Amino acid sequence: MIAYKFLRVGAVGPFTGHRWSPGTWVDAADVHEGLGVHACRVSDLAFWIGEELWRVELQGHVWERATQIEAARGRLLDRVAGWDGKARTEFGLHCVFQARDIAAAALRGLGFADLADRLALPGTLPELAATVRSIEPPDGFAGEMFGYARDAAIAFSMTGNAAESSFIASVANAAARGDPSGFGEEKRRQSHWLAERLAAPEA
Amino acid sequence: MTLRAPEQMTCREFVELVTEYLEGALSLEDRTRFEHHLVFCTWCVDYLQQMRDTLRAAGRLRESDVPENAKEKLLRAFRQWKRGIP
Amino acid sequence: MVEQTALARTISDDERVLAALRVGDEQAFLVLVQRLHPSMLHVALAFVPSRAVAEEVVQEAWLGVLKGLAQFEGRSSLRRWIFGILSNCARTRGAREARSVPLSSLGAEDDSEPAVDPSRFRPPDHSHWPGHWSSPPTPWPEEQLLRREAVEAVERAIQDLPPGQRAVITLRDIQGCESAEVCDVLGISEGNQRVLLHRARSKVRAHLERRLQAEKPR
Repeated sequence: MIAYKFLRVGAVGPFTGHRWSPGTWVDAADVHEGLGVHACRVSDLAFWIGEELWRVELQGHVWERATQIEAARGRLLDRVAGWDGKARTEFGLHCVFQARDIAAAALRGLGFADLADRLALPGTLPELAATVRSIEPPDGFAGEMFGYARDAAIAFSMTGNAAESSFIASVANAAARGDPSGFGEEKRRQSHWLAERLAAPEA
Repeated sequence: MTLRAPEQMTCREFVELVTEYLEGALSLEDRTRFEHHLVFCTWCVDYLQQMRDTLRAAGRLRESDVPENAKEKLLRAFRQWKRGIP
Repeated sequence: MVEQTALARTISDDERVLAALRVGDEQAFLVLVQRLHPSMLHVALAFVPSRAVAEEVVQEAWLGVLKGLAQFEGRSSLRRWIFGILSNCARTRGAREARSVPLSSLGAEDDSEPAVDPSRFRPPDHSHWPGHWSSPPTPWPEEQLLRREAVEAVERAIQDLPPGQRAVITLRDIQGCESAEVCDVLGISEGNQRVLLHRARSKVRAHLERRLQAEKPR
């Protein structure tokens, strides 16, 4: 089956440091121990954001885990060319504005209409960063929700870490929903946004 | 955050699991949570690297100084033992 | 492939050293002593109460090594064999000195010993990102790690460890022993070994971090 895999620059495994060679089959040590070849379904993409995105082919039985799949054998097929630094930045921005939208909606629901409006107004990252810096956070849960928008905007402005904005937006969603499953829900939504952006077909 | 998404690892939990991770001793579930955290938390990426740097630095201690009197004693013992070699 | 080569290298190294020792090559003996003696002291100190006694134990172990050289069949590595002899000497002597504290608890005295000072994280009841770094680590430049000061800092940090933690990190990270070998030598379980290793490495890392921070130009 075909799936996806994020790797470090040079097709290097982010956790094992294994240097993948495109086209070469890799046999995993022991799949039952979780040491198999790991890959992403489309819905898993946002959990594993990395520098390079590859299409992979998996052979043999495939174990479906919560946020990844695992097989005894796999090989890299080709790079998803659309995933580059620019795309990563776009994804990061998308997540920042997701956090903003989730926060604004929550604030509106909590009766902070003016604050929600101010938060919803900016259309660019610098504008959003300036806005959140200028706002005195409310107390309690409203403050927490505002905080997600603020943290996402400021952190991404400073570091450009797309995986971090993805994380913040996902936590924001869990908070807004009042349910931990909101985290996975937002991640999967982000994954599908990514897939569409990359025109990546479902595995 | 722990309250909102309890299955997500915090940095505080991360630093307690580093050794088990490097030993390959984490459960699949914890290993996945650990890796999820590494994807976005550059600080913990740095911490993990520091732990790797630390153990590698210890490896450079393999050749270290033996006090002279200890060395002399051992050399004497070796020479004595040597005389017994056929 | 790489592991196979390393093992093959160890075996041929061992054979070379053994051959040299058996013909009375003093230089070969001194090189071996240089490589193992300080670590043997750390291990002995896990079993006996004082440095003086530990030095006696290590001397005794070396005598045992020399006595057994002719019969040693090389079924295990030379290092493992030597630490095995040391372990026996140390345990015997330790029993005689009536050390009542079992090794497994050495270095595990404080059960709530965190790897990192808790004040470096946001408290669990913090409104934003509880448990995340508030004083995060910064990456160490490779060249700083290679300098003498860094190596000395690590050496000092290991010397300051409680005996059990010190013995484990010495065998695992200084000597490069496998965990099974360490459990054998020290007579502890895998789980125990891992806890001691974790605490040891965490402390040494913290010490090294302080040292490297102090060195940074302003």
